[in-house]
Amino acid sequence: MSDIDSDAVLECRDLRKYYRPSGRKWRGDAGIVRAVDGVSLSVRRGETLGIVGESGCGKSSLANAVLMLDPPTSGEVLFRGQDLTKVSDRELRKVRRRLQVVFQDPYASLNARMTVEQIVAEPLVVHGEVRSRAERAVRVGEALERVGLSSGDAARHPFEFSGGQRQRIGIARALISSPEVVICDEPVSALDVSVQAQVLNLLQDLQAERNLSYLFISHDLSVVSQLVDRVAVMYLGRIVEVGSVAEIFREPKHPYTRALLAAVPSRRRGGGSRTVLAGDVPNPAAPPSGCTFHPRCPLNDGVLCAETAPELRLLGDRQEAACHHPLLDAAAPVGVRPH
Amino acid sequence: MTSTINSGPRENGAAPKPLLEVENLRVSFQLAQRTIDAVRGVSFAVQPGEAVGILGESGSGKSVTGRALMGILKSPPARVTADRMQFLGKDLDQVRRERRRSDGSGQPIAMIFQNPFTALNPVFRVGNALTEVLVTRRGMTAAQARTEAVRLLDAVRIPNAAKRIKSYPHEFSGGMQQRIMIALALALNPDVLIADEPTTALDVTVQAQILTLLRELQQERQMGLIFISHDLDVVSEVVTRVYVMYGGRIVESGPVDSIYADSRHPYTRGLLLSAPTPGVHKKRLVAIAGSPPEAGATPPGCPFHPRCPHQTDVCREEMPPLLPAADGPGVAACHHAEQLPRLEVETHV
Amino acid sequence: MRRTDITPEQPVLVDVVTEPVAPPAQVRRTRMKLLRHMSPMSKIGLVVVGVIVLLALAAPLLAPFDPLAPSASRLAGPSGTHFFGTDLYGRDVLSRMLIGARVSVMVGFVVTLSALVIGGTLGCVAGFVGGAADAVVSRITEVLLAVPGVLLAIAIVATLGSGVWNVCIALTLGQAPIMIRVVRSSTLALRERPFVRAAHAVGATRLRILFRHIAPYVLGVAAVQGTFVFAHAILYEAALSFLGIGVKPPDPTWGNMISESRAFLSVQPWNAIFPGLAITLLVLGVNFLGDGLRDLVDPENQERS
Repeated sequence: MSDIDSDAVLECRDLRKYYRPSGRKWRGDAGIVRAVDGVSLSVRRGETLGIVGESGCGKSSLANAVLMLDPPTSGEVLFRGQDLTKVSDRELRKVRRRLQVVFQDPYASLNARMTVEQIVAEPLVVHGEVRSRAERAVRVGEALERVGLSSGDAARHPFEFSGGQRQRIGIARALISSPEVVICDEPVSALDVSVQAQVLNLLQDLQAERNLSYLFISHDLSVVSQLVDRVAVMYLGRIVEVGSVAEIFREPKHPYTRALLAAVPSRRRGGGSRTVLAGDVPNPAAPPSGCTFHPRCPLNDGVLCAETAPELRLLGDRQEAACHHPLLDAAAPVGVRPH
Repeated sequence: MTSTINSGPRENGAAPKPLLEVENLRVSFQLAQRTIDAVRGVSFAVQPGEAVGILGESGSGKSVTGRALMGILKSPPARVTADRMQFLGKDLDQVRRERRRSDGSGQPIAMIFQNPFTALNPVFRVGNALTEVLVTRRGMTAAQARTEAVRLLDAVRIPNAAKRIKSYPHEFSGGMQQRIMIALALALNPDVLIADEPTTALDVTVQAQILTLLRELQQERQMGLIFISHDLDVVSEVVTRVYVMYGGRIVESGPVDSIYADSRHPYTRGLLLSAPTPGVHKKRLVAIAGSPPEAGATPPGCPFHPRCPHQTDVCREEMPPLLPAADGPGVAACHHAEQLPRLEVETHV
Repeated sequence: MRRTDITPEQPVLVDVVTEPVAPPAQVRRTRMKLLRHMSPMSKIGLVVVGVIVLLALAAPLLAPFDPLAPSASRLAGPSGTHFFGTDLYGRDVLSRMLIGARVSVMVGFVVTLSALVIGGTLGCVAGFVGGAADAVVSRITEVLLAVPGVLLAIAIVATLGSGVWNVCIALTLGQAPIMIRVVRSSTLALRERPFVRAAHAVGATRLRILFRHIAPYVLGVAAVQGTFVFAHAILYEAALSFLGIGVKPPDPTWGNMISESRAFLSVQPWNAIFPGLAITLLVLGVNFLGDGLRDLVDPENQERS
């Protein structure tokens, strides 16, 4: 685990979120889903940290835990040094002004019965930032213009807009209270390809303008690399590797990261065969022992990997990987088990 | 129209019959208040053993095209017309009917869909789902069907096929379910497989497995493959030729490598420029303005013109015809195709 | 919309600010248009219920004869003066029916409103807060629902005594659990919806989320259920009065009118037919209305993308 980062505006320390199967409390640990299993990360001011992983890796649970929407089972969430897991509800609500979120589904994350103005103004209303309807209208108008809509749209309802525009409305809502950190939970996954770029550009511009920090969650490696400075790769609730975009994409040290990169389809590669990772993502309720990746890992040594879960170790400038046999030689081709 | 489309290698001076040939396909949906023209005159062909892609976003009509080919659109409200829809030179509907009557020959075209879980009946064991198809459509006996079912599961690389025949769909992961769906499609012994966004709902590592599987199966069986997707990277991994659809029409088509290297249509170029590349950091993406039109709500003239930076009056009024590029193997439907300068394509990261 | 002047020579696709979508294909629904979207059956239901309610309200003015006093020969059939005939005591059936309508309608409204208020509040709290409150409410609800409706009503009225107010209490106790259940499940589902989570993330208090985000959607569902509660209330009141433990004669109610006419069915079936038809008509009308409301509430809330 890296040293405490004093520049960090958002930090998690050994964050865990476990779900028990519903119904009776089972005896013992059988069936517990370890959605987030000891995650520590930090985001500096003005920086974007990307979280990538496939389904079941826990990235959405991580977002919910950081936002304290589903409070974590254990661990700390530090926002500007303040531990959100220990503050009162009232204090937490105040913090929310500065810690905002953009959700994945542009259709469901806006209340269909409210006007755009009511939706976008909600943070202002909730925190008492405006004193009159006129002032509210002005602030909403500004926010809408900044995200590329017009202030006249304030009186309309969400269903009158396309997916990309609704996502902009969501972004306007997230930004209107001038937050410092915005969690982006798959913000472009539900959008058409030709619209994704618009929203990504918008997010990039806003970050530059306001020195925002983003925690950017996505399953799409191309999208992530576009926007983020550093990337953390998650697998079954743990971070297996973290580093800068260049480090991760050019010199991945963890076999899973390498397999993930190899699996990304690319028009530049052209057709033809390519070694792919075998097997499926294991059931989060019954993870493999030791290193959870070992059953699928071409570097599995059968002994250490099956018994002991590796810790994140610093391997580069700021690059860390959790592997007993990290790929230190970037040039060597990886013997990923062909399928 | 079809003469401009790339046909296969010519031997002995005789043109090989395309596996599938569609000319001027139109699909409209008759609703209470209005008619939606989802597909507005689409023509394409698939040669034996060839993999073609249909690339498009929502509202482009790509899925409707696939379903129209399969003949599974509910009619009414759908109305499907085409100048020609032929399988190896014979009318497609007729071939389907003939094969349905006889035993053993399955169907000319089979289809796999995006969400495998909803396509598999949860109360049927996987083996039963397969044997049902084999008995009713291939005229096999129960015993033959059982053997063939195991063989099919093996062909799609499901480990322990003989045992897993007895499992239910929910006992499989998403990737495996998709393989089962492919097995079901193969059970029909098709000559053409239509894959409608088969990997969109899957994780990227599983997607890679499925794409590899599809490629291998296609080559082993010399099947035609029509791969429908919105993802231009995925498409490029699987097909050799691509048709780009927008607003119910084909706006560009040709060999996938040359189209991606030097597209002659502003929409395709926009897609290529706006798709982020893995590992490329903080380069500002060139975005296409606006949103794709909803099916049936396409503007007059060229369907792309409201979003096109090159639009002129003629674009607003007249639908551009699909014409061969002056210096390339593809065809494009743009009034200004010739004036588009060469695309700056990035090489490696 | 900012856009530089592009000529075909300029290849670059400028990142143009999007413009709003053209007027939506989906026409904005105002309240007036809602009525137009109701199915024909539900409009019929609305009319039937409306007419009966109006008649009930105006009953004292409309009744041609005193409902409690004999006014003609007994057990007469429908005639020019007595449109629905007379009953075993010679009282005008039409007048009694009009006054009886007041009871039915009143019981219907009282029970429905009570069930909505009690059931709605408890269901919302149970669904939203969860935990111990939910456990308590759910167990009580389950106990009450375990007993068949009519039996429960009979049991309560037998304990409390007859009379219209006790009937209302009994029926409320029987209907509120259903309302609790409907409201609770609706609240539970809504609680997890992204826009509610968004409100939470923005910093809204739980109270605000409840009233501003959840309640509007739940109200629709509750209203639909309310119509069915209304129908049940009328039916059960009639049943209780028929059995002789609800509203007792000589005060007329459709239920006890049927009861009184039982002995003379072979002689004068109209005495039973008219009240029976009235009950059927009102209950059917309410049901159609409820169906229509439900069709409005559900698809309206779905997003059309």
